[in-house]
Amino acid sequence: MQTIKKVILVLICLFVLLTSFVFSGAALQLPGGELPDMPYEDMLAMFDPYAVTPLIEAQYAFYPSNDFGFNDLILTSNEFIFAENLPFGSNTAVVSCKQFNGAVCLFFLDSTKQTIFAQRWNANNGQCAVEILSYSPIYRIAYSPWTGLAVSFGGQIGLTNQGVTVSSSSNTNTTYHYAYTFGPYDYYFTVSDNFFDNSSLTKIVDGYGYDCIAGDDYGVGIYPTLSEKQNELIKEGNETSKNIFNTLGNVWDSIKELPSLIADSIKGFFTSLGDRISGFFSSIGDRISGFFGSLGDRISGFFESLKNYLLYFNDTKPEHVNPFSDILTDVKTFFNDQISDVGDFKNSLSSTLNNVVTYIETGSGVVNTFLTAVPMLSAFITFFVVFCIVRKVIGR
Amino acid sequence: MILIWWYISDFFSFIFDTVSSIIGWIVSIIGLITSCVGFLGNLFLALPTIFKVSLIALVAVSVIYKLLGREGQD
Repeated sequence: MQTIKKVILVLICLFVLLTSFVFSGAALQLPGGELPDMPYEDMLAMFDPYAVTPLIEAQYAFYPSNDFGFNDLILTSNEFIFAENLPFGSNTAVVSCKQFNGAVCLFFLDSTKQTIFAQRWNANNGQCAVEILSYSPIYRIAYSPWTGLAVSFGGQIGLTNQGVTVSSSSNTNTTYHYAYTFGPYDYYFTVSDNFFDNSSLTKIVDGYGYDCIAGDDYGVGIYPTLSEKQNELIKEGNETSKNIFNTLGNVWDSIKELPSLIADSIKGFFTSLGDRISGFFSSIGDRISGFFGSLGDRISGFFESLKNYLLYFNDTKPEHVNPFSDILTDVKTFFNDQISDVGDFKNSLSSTLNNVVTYIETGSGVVNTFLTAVPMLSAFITFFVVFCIVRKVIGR
Repeated sequence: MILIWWYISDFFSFIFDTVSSIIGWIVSIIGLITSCVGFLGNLFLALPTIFKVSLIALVAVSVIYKLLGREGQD
């Protein structure tokens, strides 16, 4: 009975160690060995310090009618949408801004979300036109890789990095929205910035005052010089985000290599260990036989010479020669070599084992992160494992 | 006689130096074993928390079980 309990105890130990090993490293290679297939923007948003913020309840998307003359300006879920409850008479909300052939178009959605207004403003002659569009459902929720903006408005107001919301962003274009109160007026700005093309006309600052009426270009002007520093920061932010995924990919590749690396390390370790042990004993056997064979010859030779000198005086007086000097040198060399080999072996072993520990730590970090995110599951698994161990060790 | 004495002293010197070398080698082996034990400690620390807790529970329960001895109570 005691033997069975001991066997069970040993099996539990092995199970726990094996399970922890598998969960901490080897299991991580299971899901196809690749990062999940996810759109880049969604992955970017997951790691964006400026988290995704729905700027509108986003129930609507709209498409300018053909009659409006913007057939190639159809807004889809890939386009930007934003909204603010603007006090434009009928409590309209700005939902979009687009540039087309040098003209800036702002689209408004009324409070009933039944009617789309569009204002087209021509940058060349300052003429505006207002048209009404139909509506259709919206799906787009913008995300924000950057929330800072520095603009000036009609040369009158300097605005820097305050209250800017990003309507949308893609790999090539970011649109910002800014609300500002100056005196009795509220100003609302939209900025569309193609930050990969400094010469592009898509750099536009557009603004509307609280008391602006349709068709009025109240202080509105194209402001084509967004801060280059901002552009650099945007690019840097995108590169940083990409680097995050590169880093994650490298970590993932490393984790995938874990089992083979551990196997190679263990295989190399034991092969090296076996060779060294075998070499050690064969070497020490050869050397010991050589030691004592040489030692015996020397001692017998000495005493033979001494006997002849003392008894027969027919030999020269034997001179003292340390018969152990050469042997002692061999012994010291042998053990010093062994000590050096052990030291080298210990260093190589430490390096290998540290790699193993590092890989297991990587896997453990993932497991810990996952279990931290689901504390109830973590508590349940811990309780289950401990319960099984205790129950098996102590018995019912 | 002095020759014989020298040879005897050489013999014991040889024994002493050989034993010293062997002790040094054994010390290096102990260092190797110590590093292996240290590795086991690092390996334990590298495990996920859940398994560390489980292993600690396993050791604690085993020790308590051994010390108390259920059969001893019977």
